[in-house]
Amino acid sequence: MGSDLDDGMKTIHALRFGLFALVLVFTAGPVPALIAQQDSADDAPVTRREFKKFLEDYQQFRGEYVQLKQENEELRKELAEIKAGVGDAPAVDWKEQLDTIAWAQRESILDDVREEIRDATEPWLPGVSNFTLGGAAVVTYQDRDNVDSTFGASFAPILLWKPNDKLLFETQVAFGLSSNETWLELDQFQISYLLNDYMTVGAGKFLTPFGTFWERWHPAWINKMATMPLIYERGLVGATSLGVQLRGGFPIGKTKLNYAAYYVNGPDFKDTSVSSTGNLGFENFRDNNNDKSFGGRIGFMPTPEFELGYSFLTGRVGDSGSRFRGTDTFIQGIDLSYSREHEAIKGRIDLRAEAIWVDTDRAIFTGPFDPLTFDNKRNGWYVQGAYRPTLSNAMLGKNIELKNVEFVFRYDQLRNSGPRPLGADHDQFTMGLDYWIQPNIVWKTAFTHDNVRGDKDENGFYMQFAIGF
Amino acid sequence: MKTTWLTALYIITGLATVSVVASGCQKTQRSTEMTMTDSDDTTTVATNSDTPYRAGALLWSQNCSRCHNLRNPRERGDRGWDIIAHHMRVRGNLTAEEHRLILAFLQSAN
Repeated sequence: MGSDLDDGMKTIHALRFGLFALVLVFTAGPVPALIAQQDSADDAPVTRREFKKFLEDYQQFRGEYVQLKQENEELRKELAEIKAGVGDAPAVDWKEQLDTIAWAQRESILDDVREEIRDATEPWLPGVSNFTLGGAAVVTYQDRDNVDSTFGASFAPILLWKPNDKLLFETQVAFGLSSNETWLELDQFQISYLLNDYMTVGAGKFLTPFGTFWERWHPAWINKMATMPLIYERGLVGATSLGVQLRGGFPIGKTKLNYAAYYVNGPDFKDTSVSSTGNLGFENFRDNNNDKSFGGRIGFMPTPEFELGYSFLTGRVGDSGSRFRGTDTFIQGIDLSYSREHEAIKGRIDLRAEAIWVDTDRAIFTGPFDPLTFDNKRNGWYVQGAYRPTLSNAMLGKNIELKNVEFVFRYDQLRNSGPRPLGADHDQFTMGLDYWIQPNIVWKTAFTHDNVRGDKDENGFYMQFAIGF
Repeated sequence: MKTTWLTALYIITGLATVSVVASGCQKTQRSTEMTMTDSDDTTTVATNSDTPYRAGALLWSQNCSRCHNLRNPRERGDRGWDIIAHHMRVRGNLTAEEHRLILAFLQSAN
């Protein structure tokens, strides 16, 4: 039994040896051959072209490597510096910086909005083209002795057109209510041209440059009284004239001189009715004779607040072909004005005075009355003072500021040399109280005591609401 | 009639001469200085380019308030003031320099 086992084992060993030998035979030959083949591939020679390409690749990679290495070094240094500096850096107020940025952005947006609003509203503001509109609107209530009390209203827009820097066209049309009808009147119409820095020429129907009232103070929103001075209300000088004028002003050292000269149709003579005989008419749109009237005014201003002026107007007034064809008139006037704000009186004081003398030739009047001859002279003057406490902060009640209240006083005198048709002599006192709602909107009240010689007094109470635009 | 014509001719010629002479004189003076005097405090206002706004404001205040209350510059746009200032130059006998300064002030303050 034991020998069979040993034989068996020997057999196995023999098989194993045989198998090993067989594997050795099959493997010992190809492996060295493969190894030898591999060695021969590594040592195989490369072509010059391949070598050159390898060299170029190498040099490129080498350059990139050096560059990257340098950048890496620089980054390392920067990082080290940042790390070193972090501890000493001042604290940043990020909130403040953000607020600043937000505020700047807000301002920028607001600027844009403002610009948009301006662009949108500009077309609605007066005067964005060569035209603009001004003028006045007024409502008056008057209660006078011997006359029924009444309301009155008028509206007088002024259209201005400036086609170029030298030329200006202005026209004013007045609408009003009287009795039972509406009236419409071409108050002014003038074309003016700037000849040079100190002279303007104008033509048309313009405010008469006689004295200062018609040209400067007659608009209701400028006139501090609800009534006009008697010398103008009773027609010593007309409001407008039709013709041409030259005017301007120039400084003389520290003072200034202004002037106006005009050549117009001029006044005409009233001789056809009892009520108007001897008076001058100034609505002479179609001249009644060949002679034109000539007038002028010179004003001297020693200081910007004070002005003294002299005016005159002369011309033939009788109708050509009539027995009054040689009748002339000569009208003269002086005016002075002072207006200034004084700290000492906490307000503005405004003083005005004017006097006018009318001298028309003697004439024999006939008509529905007996022949009548008289010295055809009229004259009158007024002085007006106004005070407004513009520098006061006092209040009258809750809503009325004292600085908007203005106190006005005027004394008028009118004298006639002739009989009744020229009118009676007047001595008139007027007290006024104005409230300025805005610089161009005023509520006026006035009481007039008018002493008429040889007739009943003509006292009156007036209220007026005026807007200038 | 002849007398009236001659008088008119003399006065117009005189005014034109004065205006032309003044025009020549003032053109040389304009670039220097214009002095305006207030009775309480003598104020010298240079009309050179450094203070045109101030000079315009003063002229606006003095010339306009002589007749009426000062209107708010914001009432009108630039073009509107251009026309109104021209109108008031004619009505108020302003010189070209006064007109220019007042208009510049109104257009910068509106």
